[in-house]
Amino acid sequence: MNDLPNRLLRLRCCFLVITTFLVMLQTLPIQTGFNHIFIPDILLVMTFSWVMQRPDIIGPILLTIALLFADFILQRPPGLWTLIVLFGGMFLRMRSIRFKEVVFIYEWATVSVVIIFCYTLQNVSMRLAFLTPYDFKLTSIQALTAVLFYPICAWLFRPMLKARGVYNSQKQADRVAE
Amino acid sequence: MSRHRKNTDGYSTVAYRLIMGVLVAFLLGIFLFWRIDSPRVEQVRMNIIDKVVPSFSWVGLPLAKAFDLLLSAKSYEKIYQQNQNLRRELQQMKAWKEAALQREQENAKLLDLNKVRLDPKFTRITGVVLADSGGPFRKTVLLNIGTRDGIMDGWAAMDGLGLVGRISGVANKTSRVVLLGDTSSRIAVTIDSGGQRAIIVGDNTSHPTIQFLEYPETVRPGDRVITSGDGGVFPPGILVGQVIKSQFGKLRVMPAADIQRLEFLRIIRHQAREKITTTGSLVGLPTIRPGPPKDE
Repeated sequence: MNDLPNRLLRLRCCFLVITTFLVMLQTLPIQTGFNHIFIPDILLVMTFSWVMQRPDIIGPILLTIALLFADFILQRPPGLWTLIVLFGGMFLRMRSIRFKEVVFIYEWATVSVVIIFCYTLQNVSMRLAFLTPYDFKLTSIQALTAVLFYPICAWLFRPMLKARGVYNSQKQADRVAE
Repeated sequence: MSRHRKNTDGYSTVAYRLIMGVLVAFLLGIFLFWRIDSPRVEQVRMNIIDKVVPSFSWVGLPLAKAFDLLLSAKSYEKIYQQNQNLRRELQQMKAWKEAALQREQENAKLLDLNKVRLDPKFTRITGVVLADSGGPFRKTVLLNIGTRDGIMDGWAAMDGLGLVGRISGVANKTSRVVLLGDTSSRIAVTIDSGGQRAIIVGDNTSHPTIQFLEYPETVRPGDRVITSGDGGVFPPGILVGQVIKSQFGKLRVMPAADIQRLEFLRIIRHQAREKITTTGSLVGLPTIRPGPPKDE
């Protein structure tokens, strides 16, 4: 997937900017109470959908920077969630190429399993570290909303992440060769 | 096809594995270090927030205000009417303010006549809420006052009426308030009728639970709950709220403060009281030992 290096850099910066923006939106003091409208962890969903569509953009370092930043600002145990998402993301990244030519449902199913696994792993590792794990009901709602939000997120970012330039001509050449 | 697979399949290269290894070790290290020495890492976290979050405000505040307007403005026709009402009320308020000022002066005079020393706990600092915790699991807010304003860990935060939470984590320009409902919040209180001591424990709901009561059956819904100041860290005598009974018969507190919308918080300055450790000694002239008689 060759793309102009300039554009790769731009998309990476874009990822960081969107991350900052999301974190900022989440910390806005709009609702300090307890009747939360359930907003999924958009950062997680976005990371996974970017990884699936453009594994060349989201490398381990970029992912770590973005999520560690969110960990620190959002009062989570620092490093834990980043580590889990890093594992999940890199697992998906290795397999992303296989989902290029299959129906979207398969991709969605795989990502869903990974998302649920991430939340389970978080719960288990918090128990192992003698931290009180997050409320089970809230966590499951979050995982569920994240799964439901994935297709929307993938659809939203698809035009933005579409490879241009060299990649398209390459693909055409491949197709001709086949 | 084979070609671009080769390009993207950089996942088994030495560099990739090295990077992954370093990152995993780094993240695991941070997490374990946080678990072992939490206060130090939390201080680092506060410092990062101190640098980052205030710079959000120039984007965030307009957004928050716009959202606020959307929520509160039910219809535009009413705004004019509201404005008129507010003006009228403001006039009345001015009259009251005048009266209050006169009373205050009178009060000061009387206090001066009596030479009363007021409890220093009544001084307070007001801060604006900058950000909340940004997730459903933690109930904290960030204020725009910090060590440069003299804020210290453990002080009480109130809105106009009652206790909201306590300061936990201070940086230079910002400080974090853990709200009553947060799962890590524990506050020593007294139930007003009967004076029983208890602890209110947050459980991620808007009504924290009352625990460690000696005689729960004597506590009735509607009793006032007030901080007791046990342990010396927290100022005593601040109104928390009223006792209510949940449908499962559990005793909970309905906070007097309006936790749904927090905008300004008052931080109560509180110096831990000096402890009196010795019992009083005998009052009287110091005994003089008869020395050896002097020669003349």
